Amino acid sequence: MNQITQLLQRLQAGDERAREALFAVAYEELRRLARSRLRDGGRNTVLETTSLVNESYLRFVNAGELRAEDRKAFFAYASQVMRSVILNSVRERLAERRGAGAPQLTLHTELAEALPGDEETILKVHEALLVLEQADDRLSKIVEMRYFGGYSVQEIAELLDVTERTVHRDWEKARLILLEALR
Amino acid sequence: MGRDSSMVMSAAQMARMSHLLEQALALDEAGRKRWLEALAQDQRDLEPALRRALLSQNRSGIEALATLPKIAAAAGEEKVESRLRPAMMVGPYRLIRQLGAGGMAEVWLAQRADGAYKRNLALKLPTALDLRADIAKRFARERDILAGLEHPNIARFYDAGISQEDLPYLAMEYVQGEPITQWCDTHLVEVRDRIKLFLQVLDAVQYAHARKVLHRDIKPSNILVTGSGQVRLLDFGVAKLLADEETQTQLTQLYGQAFTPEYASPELIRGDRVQQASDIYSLGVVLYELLSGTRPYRLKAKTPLVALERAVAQTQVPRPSSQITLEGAMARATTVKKLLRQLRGDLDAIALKALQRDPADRYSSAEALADELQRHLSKEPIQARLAHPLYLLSRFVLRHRSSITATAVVVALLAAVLGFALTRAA
Repeated sequence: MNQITQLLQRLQAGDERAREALFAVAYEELRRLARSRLRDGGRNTVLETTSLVNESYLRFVNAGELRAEDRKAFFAYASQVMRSVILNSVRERLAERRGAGAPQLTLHTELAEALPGDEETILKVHEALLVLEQADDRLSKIVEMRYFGGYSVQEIAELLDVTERTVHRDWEKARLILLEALR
Repeated sequence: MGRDSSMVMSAAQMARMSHLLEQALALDEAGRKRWLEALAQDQRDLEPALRRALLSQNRSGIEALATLPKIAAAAGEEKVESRLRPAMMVGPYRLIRQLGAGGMAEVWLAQRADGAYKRNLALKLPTALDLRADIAKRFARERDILAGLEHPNIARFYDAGISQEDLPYLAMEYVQGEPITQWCDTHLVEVRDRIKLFLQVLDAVQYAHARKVLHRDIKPSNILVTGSGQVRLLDFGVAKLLADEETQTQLTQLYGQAFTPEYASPELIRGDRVQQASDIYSLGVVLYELLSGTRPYRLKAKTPLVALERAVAQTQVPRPSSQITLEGAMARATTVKKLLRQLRGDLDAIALKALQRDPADRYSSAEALADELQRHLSKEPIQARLAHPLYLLSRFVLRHRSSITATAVVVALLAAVLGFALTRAA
């Protein structure tokens, strides 16, 4: 069995160490994607992101690293990577601005002095998602894929095996809950 | 739910809210209201949150969490590689050297490649522009209007186009100078002379407005004073050319970049339509700064739009005369006391009128503002303070200082009051 497939399976089975290994293989590629997503924001990148992830995916399949059946797992993994990269990027920028060396800033230190900016908003969304995950896993996955990953509703529906209508409704719910949590 | 820094919603609350929203989202506005009222007792703690979620109008863009905010590249992160190099050709122009780069565009010194004119010009190359089919059309439409602006105080706009490599470019006159506020401080310009300089700016803006061109981004860095002391306005109408108004308002596009929001009018910040009065507002901020050395709102560059809106909506702009500092007085070649006297009264009133939150309350045109400032310079009564007959008298006396005796004052008083009453009746 090829490397990525194996790793993905292990990851899905709950083996967290597989994540590090996966990082080494697919990370660079997905990191590039996440960076460009940060630069472009929400502007016309919804469809683009999915097709770019798809390109990555196809490349791995062609190289024999991934099987076709792994598509869903790969896409789910990709949006996690993007969330992770985006968060690191945001933390770096905040640290840079504060002049501190600390890479692991949490929100609590920030809010004391500064008003929430766009970077802080992203961090807050992430922290709220951590809580939402415990409340409703599917809702938090949808937010991760849409907000951080930039996936289309259609893609998300396919990846999670639900109807598009469900995704729309869940996204609406999640958004309202997060807006409330971010007040 | 309070407003402290820790996460105030628990997972259990989120789960309940999700379940409740499921029911209520399917209802229409009226149905939602009824549903909220009929909410069970043990769910009432979520009622305020649900009310906000179900009934409030969601504003578009910033607060809605619809998408990831756009963040400019941090230092050390891979930057979007500029493909431009000296000696490269962009359209009919040859690049000489880079003058600067904002978030939205690079500016290069350039020359016409065919040597038709030896003159140097500034080529503005937008980096973040979406190359869509209609851009060529938009450029063509605006180019003629902007190129038609010929005024001694406006930097010429020559050309707009798309190069063979699909690079959009704007060709403009290359102006070397210092931002007006800086120039005045460096040269220790007095208040009266600052106003005279500012009148040149107003003349330029009035000219453009008469031709239906709005500037949309008036700020000191766009108002340069050349070595010979001439005022030149840059980038007239360019903001509109670069704005991709279908996907984002001008503000949100500028926002991720090095954008100081302090010159932006309240309506621009709110995302409403920008009109001539918006330029007047920005002019008001510049005037305020020229007079007092400070700005009406003090905000950090990356202040989020929500806080900005709040500040502009709630803060009462302090009178320029109340913001005087020692450095400010020195930069105006005078003492704090004298500067206070110079600014108090007329100039305070004029600046504040230009900065009114409601566009309708501001000066109706750059010309109106200019006339007002002229009246102040000649010690005639200004419109903004016409409510006080005593003020009229004080102006009258001031203008005719040398020839006034005691009786004359009485006559003058009568005349002023009469005159005032007459103009009121007219």
